[in-house]
Amino acid sequence: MIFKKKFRNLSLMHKLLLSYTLLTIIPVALLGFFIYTAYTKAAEEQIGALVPQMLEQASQQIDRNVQDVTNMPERLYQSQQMIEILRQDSFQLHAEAMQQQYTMERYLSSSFLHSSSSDLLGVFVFSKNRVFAATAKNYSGFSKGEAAVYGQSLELEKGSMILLPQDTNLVFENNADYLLIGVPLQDRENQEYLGTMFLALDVSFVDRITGTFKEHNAARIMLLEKESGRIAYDSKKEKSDQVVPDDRYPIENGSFLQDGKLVGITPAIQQEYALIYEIPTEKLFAKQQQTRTISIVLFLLFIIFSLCLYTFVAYNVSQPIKRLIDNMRSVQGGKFQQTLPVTKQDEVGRLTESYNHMIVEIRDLIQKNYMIRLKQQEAELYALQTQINPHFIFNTLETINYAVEAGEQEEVINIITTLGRMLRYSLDNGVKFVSLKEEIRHVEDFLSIQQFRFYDRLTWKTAYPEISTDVQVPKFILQPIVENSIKYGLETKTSIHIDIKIHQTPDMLILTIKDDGPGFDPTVKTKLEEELSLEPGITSKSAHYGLSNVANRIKMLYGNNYGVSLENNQKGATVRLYLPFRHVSERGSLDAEFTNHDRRG
Amino acid sequence: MQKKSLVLLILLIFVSACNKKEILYVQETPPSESHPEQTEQIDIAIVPKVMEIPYFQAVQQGVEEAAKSSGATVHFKGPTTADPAQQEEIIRTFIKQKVDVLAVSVIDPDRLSPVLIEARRQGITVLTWDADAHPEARDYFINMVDAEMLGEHLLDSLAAQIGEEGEYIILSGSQSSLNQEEWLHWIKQHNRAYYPNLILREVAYTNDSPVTAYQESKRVVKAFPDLKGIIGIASLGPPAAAAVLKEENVSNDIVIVGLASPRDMNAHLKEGDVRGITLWSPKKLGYLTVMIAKLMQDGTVIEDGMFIEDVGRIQVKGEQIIMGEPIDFTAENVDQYDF
Repeated sequence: MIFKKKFRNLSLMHKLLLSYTLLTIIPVALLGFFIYTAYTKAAEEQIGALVPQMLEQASQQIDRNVQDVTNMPERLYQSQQMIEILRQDSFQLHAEAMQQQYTMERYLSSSFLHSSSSDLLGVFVFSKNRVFAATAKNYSGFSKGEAAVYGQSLELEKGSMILLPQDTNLVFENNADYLLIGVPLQDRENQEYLGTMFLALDVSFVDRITGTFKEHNAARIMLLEKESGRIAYDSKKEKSDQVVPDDRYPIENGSFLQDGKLVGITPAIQQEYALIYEIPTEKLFAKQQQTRTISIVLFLLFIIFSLCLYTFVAYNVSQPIKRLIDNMRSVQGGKFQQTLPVTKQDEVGRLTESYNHMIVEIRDLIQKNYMIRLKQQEAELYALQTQINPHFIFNTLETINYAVEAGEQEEVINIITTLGRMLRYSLDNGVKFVSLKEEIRHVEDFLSIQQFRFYDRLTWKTAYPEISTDVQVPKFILQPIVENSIKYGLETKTSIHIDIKIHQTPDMLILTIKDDGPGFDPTVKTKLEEELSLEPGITSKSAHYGLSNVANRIKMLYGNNYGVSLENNQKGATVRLYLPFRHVSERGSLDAEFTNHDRRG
Repeated sequence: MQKKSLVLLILLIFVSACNKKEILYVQETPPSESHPEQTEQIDIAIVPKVMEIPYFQAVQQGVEEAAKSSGATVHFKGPTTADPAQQEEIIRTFIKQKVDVLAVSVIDPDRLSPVLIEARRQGITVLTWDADAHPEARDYFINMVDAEMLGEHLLDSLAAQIGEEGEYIILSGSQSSLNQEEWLHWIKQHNRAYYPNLILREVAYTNDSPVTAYQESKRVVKAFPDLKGIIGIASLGPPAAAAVLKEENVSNDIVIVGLASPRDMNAHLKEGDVRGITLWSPKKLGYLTVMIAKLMQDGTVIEDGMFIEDVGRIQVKGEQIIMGEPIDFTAENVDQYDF
């Protein structure tokens, strides 16, 4: 579970690499391991089956050799003379005995040692307290005394026997190892015991037989007497006195692996001996070892190569995501400048694309909000400035001054009251929206005060249906336009008439300010209209700042469907403000939304 | 990471398993040919021609030796005189006892073959030794020597001693004895081929009786005054003839060769009355007979050149097993043989 948690927290690249390792390298490693094991196992079994067969053949040859030697005394029966010597007992003339000794030994030498290509070291005949010997090498031991002992035991057993060098005191020069084969001699005609013949067989014949074995030089070949565990022959010529414990070989005929060695064993010489073949497995399986090394190297190369490849793939997958993450981080820090290059059309590419879109969108939105907010503040500041325009106040105060000098008390009171109302309207700063009625009242106030100043040069008229007066509109949208009309109208003409009309369509409120002034200069008008059709907030300060400010505010508040239109008629200019026909509640929520936006920015 | 170590652990277990003794292959040990365990005791019946003559007594000794070394139960019983009827009776008794092998030295093949055939029909292995029956009546005939070789050898010995010319007679056992007839045939054949001056005057028969042998010897010595030699091809012949020659005091004029126990001829050889006689070892014959019986009962195929323990190599010619070469006994070596 810890692992699960850990895994979940790993980076995508590590996850991919780990999954790859689990899914690819481990199965491949296991597969390789199992194939190799099966292969080795098969090879071992094959050799394991081969070795006993090979041993069995060698064992049969050894058997044959031993059997041949065991059958050799038969040659003695072919010489009637020799049998006759053996039939003699030892009580006779010394000269005669010596003569017989000579005859017998010469016969043994010629027909046993020199006549055959056998590996006989010597032949001994024990008969009736006499010893006849013929050897190929000098020897010591094996005197008459022992003759009786071995002779008797053989007479009882009535069969051949095999003795090892440890059993007798017979020693040949060079300490040659031998198998001493004892065969009883029987007088066939009289069916009586004549004596015993011992044939010393040089064990090196085993060498010759096993010389054809695979890896002969590396292998250790032993001939072991089963019952006593004594070693009769050892190709490695290690301590020959050592006794091999019984349990060392779990089977009688077959092969097994032990201590890194392959051991083959098969019974030999009438099942009384065991022919053993031991070979270190690394010698035997040198090729397999080589194959294994090569496979491991190839496997490692495969792992390295595939890890590189996979790292590359994983990097390719994770890197764009990482770049996205980094980019998001920088966006978090407020930097919206960079978008990411889209290099691929895969999921990650599409994700990057969407992300880029989003970034652009967010950037634009922020820009828009930011500018709206800026304009708003500018507008408010302007409106504020408008309201407490020192020019306006100065002019008004001058008008009041004239009125006081003229003694028109009532008029003064009127002006001051109106001005006071205007100032209060202006000072009510927290409110951005007012009812249409209030806005109209304010513009009427403004016009009234101007009329005090200009008398007949300015005339005006407002017309509006009752219902629409409750509609909420942004504050100070009429005054800048009216101000404009007065300013440009009175610059060129002696008098001006301003007509303000309000009417409504099912979903729109249209405020029309019509004057009979000079109208817009065509170039200025084109420029203005261009400006008004632009996105809100990108306007520059111009002569008609008041007009564009109003248009901007409307657009920012209600969208591009609303705004300001300009028109030159026969007598002057007409400005129309298009506003949505909305009720208080909607306006309120709009206001709240806007405020929220503000704060977030 | 833990999973990785787990995998490693598993791999380690796999690898460590290789260090124990792992048996790769077990070969079936071929059944040892040397001593198949004796599952049932086998009964071998040996029937000689007669019981109480030295030749068959020696056979009996060999039989007993063989019984000891082979572990088989051996019955040795023959007629008191060489009477075919008596021998038949004994054979019938053995058939009733359901012996496994019956080995007979057949007195009269014509008389005895039927009963031997009957024995074979009852599943008994029938051997003949020393003297053969008709071929269909037995599985093998154990012959002591090769007939042709023996016949030639006997005639050669005689010819050498009498200078290849003169008259001689042959003392055989009985006309019904097939192998004696065969030897006779080969002697005659050899005579015709090589010794035109040797003349065979008569073939006399001892009927395997010492008395008859003596009487017949006496008769022929008297009947043929120019007689130079006697060939005895039944073991009772030469001793009886030697005794007769000694009585008649013609030992130096008439040469005796033939088949006889060395023990019977010991005195004659040493005194110089007889220079040499020939025989095989009846002990060995008895021993071989039992061994062959045993081997056949064990299911061994009898082959030419086969080695029989304490006997040597045997020859096999068809259904005839030949034991070996004959031995010549002289004054020098006669003491070495105790039969």
